[in-house]
Amino acid sequence: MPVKCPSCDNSLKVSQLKCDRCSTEITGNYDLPLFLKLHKEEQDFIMDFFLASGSIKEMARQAGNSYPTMRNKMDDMIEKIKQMR
Amino acid sequence: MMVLKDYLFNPVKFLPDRVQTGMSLFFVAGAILINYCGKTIQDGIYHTGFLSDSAPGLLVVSTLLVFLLPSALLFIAGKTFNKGTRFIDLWNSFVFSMVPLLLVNILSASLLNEAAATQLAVATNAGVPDDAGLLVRIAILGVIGLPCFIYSIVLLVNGYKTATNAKKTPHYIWMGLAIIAAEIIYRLFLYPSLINYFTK
Repeated sequence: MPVKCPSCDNSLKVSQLKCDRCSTEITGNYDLPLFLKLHKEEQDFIMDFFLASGSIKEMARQAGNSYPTMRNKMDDMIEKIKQMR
Repeated sequence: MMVLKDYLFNPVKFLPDRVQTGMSLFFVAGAILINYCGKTIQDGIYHTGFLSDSAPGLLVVSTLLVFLLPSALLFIAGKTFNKGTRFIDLWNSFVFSMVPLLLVNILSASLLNEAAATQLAVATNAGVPDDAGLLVRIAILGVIGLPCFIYSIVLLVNGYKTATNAKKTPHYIWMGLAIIAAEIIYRLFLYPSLINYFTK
């Protein structure tokens, strides 16, 4: 799902939601949840962290990287999310 | 090719932690062995001298200190801006960065000996040494030693960057200060104390 405007790179907002069963449409101007504002790789990283029971060591093992590399990625993402909030 | 390059210039980033620690212990043991066989000793963090009748205990303790002291100071430097810095990562980074210099030590021990080093020290004050063979061996050491030293610095900077998540210039200034402080502390205080202690 795109999270940035391809024209001006501004954050996108949700303007329409639709029910697949009864075709009800809701229009408005909703902010995307913080998680969805992240890029796909960042979302995957957080999901992997969750699935590894919050173990950076385990994530590093799965990704074939060292612990400090994975921890640095995590620190950078924490910093980014703090700024987004 | 890209992966090989990454491994060559920043092994700390990719090798699993246990492999790194195992390799670093192996390299430290290798450094002690090189010093023992080559009758050399680390009289500075980045300098090796000849000492023909050194006690094995002196070799072990001096070599361990040469690795431990800079790692500890780099760890303190990293802690100042990143609380998550671990000692083991800086130990591994520093040991890996010393590997090219261990190769130079092997070469130095096989090309030179204590008599040649003494002759060189005397000749440095008096002018060019007379021994042509010695000049050739020094030239070979210089040609191989310089790239190895640059490679060592590259490994140290990349390892430090990975271990501490350093991004800004002040972070690297801390690194430089830690290395300079380690060299000064070791050369001026620790090495003379070790020599005194083991030659009593």
